[in-house]
Amino acid sequence: MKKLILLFITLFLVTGCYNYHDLNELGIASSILIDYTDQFEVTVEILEDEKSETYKGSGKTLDNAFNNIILGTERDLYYNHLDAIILTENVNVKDIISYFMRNPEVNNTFYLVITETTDIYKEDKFGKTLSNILKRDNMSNFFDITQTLFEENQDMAIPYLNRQLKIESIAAYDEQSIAFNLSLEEIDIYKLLTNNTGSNIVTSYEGENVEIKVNEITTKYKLNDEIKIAIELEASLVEIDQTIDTSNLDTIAKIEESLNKEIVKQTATFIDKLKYTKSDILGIDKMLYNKFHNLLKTFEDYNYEIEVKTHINKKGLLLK
Amino acid sequence: MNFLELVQEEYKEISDLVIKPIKGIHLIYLETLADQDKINDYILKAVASKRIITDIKKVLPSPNVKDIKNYKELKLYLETGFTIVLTDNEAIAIETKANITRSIDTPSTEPTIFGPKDSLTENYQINLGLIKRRIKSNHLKNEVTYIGRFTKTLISTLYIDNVAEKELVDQVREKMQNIVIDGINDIGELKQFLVKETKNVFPAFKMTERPDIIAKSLLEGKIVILMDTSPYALIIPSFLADFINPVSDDYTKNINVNFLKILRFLCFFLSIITPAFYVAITTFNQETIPTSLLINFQAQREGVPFPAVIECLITLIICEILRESDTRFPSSYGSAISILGALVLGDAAVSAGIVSPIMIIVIAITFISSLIFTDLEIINAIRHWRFFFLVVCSIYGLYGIGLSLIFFIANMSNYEVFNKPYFYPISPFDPSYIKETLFKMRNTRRSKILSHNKYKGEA
Amino acid sequence: MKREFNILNYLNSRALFMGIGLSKLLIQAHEYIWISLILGTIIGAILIHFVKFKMKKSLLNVVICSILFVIGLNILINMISTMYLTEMPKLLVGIPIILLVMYILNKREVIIYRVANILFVLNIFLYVVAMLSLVSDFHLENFTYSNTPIQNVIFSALEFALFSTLPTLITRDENTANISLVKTYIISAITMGTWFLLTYGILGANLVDIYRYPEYIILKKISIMNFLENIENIVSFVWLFDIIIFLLCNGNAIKKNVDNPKVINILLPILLLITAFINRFYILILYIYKYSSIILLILAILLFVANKKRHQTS
Repeated sequence: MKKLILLFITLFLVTGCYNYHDLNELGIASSILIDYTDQFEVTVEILEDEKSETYKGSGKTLDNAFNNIILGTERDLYYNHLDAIILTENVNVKDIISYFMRNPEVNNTFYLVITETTDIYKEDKFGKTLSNILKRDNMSNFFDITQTLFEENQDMAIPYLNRQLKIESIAAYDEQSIAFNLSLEEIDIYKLLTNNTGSNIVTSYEGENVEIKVNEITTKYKLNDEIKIAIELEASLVEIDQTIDTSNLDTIAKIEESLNKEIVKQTATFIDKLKYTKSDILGIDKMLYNKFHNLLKTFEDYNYEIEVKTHINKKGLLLK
Repeated sequence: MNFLELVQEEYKEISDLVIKPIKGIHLIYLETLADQDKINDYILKAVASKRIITDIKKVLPSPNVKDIKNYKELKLYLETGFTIVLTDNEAIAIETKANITRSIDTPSTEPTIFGPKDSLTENYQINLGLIKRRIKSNHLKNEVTYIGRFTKTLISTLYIDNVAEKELVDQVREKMQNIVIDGINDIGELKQFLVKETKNVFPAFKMTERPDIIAKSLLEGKIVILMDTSPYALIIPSFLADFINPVSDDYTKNINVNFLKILRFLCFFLSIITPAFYVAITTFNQETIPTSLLINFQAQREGVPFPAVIECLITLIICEILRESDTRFPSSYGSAISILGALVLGDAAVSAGIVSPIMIIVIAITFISSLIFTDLEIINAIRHWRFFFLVVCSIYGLYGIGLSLIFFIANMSNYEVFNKPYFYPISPFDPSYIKETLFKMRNTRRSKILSHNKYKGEA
Repeated sequence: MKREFNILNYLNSRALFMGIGLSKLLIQAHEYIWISLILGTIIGAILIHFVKFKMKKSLLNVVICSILFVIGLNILINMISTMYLTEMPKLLVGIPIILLVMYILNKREVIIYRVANILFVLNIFLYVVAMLSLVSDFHLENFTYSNTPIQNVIFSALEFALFSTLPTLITRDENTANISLVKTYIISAITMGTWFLLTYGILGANLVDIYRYPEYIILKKISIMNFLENIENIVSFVWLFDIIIFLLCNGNAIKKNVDNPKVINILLPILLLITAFINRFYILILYIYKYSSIILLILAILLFVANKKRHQTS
């Protein structure tokens, strides 16, 4: 009985303090837009029942900006259910990321996006939509980006949101600033080189377009005097001109042949571009350091030999 | 002998005492307890047909004749419905008990779909018969004692002598002999004399009204206590696992019943933890709830004026009130209460914005889970722990659940009844008893803690 | 009883890795952590097998166990106030732990074993859930060269042996130092080792270097059927259980070493106050973390020497 009384006394004394937050007090942040001009401009999208609302705040530091938002709402900001953090090009990515890494009440499976425009909140639940798009496309999330961010010998690549609010490119970084934006074709090659499935490759065969979808892929890097990239992929045929007879075995072999050539060509151009912009988003420096234990020659100093083996193993429901 | 005078002196103001002198002998009986027909058949007819009675015992056709050695015995027999026959040089008692009992009924508190449908009654003889019909062995012993200065209630300790542990039997016997009390009405009262009153809320002994459960417990090496005038039997020792799992599980297929057994074990923890867990994850660790669900919860709680803990306490207490009124009220009014409770407290409370719909679901799950158990005492014990968990969690969140869980385990591990650990097949771990209770598997061994007789089916 | 004693030591020997050990060893040994783990397990197993002594009643033992108690409590309180209750004062976080430990210690000794027995099952269950849902995130590429000197690897191995054997020394009884204890120790080292490898395989060298609780961060990646996410706070109960058992063992050792067992009812709250006092100076905690292996080594040697000597003379 004494214990019971003690328990109830503590209940009434302690309830309402320390970490006790009723659900109604929480503002569940779905996405955060962070911009920096002369101070931090932060927009937070807070989820409500059917819709979402945005709140703006500004401050000298990031935390100041968030506190500035709280002044205008009855709720506390809660970051454990974040879907996306959207940054403009003029913020320091490392500072922002470490701010969120330091906070124990932040999840790490959300997505990080670089945006071209700050006018993005036109529809409800934009953060959720964005995260669904990125999840479908197998893009790297916050956790993956933190890994590359703190790796000295690799540059990071962050999905890029354009003015039409579409993820049409990836921003490849060179140390601290964006080196260049990957086009859609380059994203497909980038996925091949980073062992990710889901990319579509278009080639021309006898003057007609042939498109395949990659189902399985193994990419290996062999580092010697020159770097040899061996790509082996299994793909299914998704679109082909009907003048081409795919029931012919030779044709398939020839299509594979032309695909190989196409991928080699595109990869070579892609790597040239990386060399030119000095953006090592593939992490080749990391591999070199792992192999030779020094970085006397970085990835720009090597020649690349690319070898591709394509196997078409599905044609879908049509025989031809 | 002066037995007759003593009886006349001591039973002066007792209206149902009959003393009937016939042919030099005296019949003494209490007419409310004795059956007139039996007296007629067993004694009077035989006595009347003989001219001179030399050896009374040979004359009487009664199947149950007992010698009386002293006056104390005489009083005992007289008060239990025997007819005392006094001759010049001896006194005997003849069983002529009237059948003051109801017939064998179906079990009301532990019903099953399959399995035997008979249950204990208030009559000790019938109860013992029901058990002996199931165990036909001379190893089944029953030691009889009478407890209560006024009630002189018959209490019988049943065990199988080559299965049950001797020490346990001795302990129980010793406890029985030391009971000093005016009277005892139900076997539930006996419980407090057998075990010291502790702070632990869980029931020390299992009470059952099913003879098949009794038979099974006896075969496992447990001791069963029967009491005249009580339709329940006590099983010593009982473990927590026994309360969760009914014996009727043995009558169905292993693989199906194991699913139910896991479900029951889950329900045990659900009914303790659910409200606390809900409060912990909605007020402290919201990250654990999936986003879509969290927003749903948030929308439902919109406008509820109380904090989640208070809301939970209110709903729990209302449900306890409902349950108590439902058990106390005559069954014909019961449905009215159910309707009132369901409509007013369920629907109207939500629409009035006093509690959130999700809280009603949480409490409903809690209560339905606890109603899986038939023993009322275990439901009460679960309720006790439910409040404890809730209070700790409202201060410490999920961390509180972790600590309360350890406290619960420590508390349960510390609880021992007749030196047998209450949390038994789990800790200390014993696979052979787990196969009997928490899972159902083929098992040829008896549990070590209950019996030295290792294997089942061996002499 | 033998099995229960072993289970107790399974939980006990894992306790010091949370917060202090795991992060420290990973930062030291980096990609060669697996060598450290194997070496450390072997050294630890040899130590467990050959170091036999029985605790004698002495004040020194009380002091050593108290220091270990404070270290364990400090780890737990800091873990709780980082992960669960970020705004609560550390003293308030510690109060229920002390109440719980005192409650169990005031009962019979066998209760500790029974509690450990059940917590072991829960512990293994949570461990398996965590491992199964995280194994797909394990990347061998994270074990890349990172210029780790060989002495770091050896130090890590020794530290692993120290961290994992020291707690078992406290529960040590002369007749229990047998081969089954070594087996338990190896199983415990394997489960702990997989956690090391998984942490390094998921985070990689760079994140291991910067995160305070790397073993906790990886739990944030658990996603069961894309629905149950962020259950790191439930899986973290593994360490709660480990450290509570560690505290119970230390408390029990203190109880055995004093004449009047009721002394712990005064001593343990004092130890909590000491812990809360230490926690007011962050520098002090950082020092404890930094020199934890030296502190633990001194404690282990003291414990060994004190009890061994007395044993020979008596």
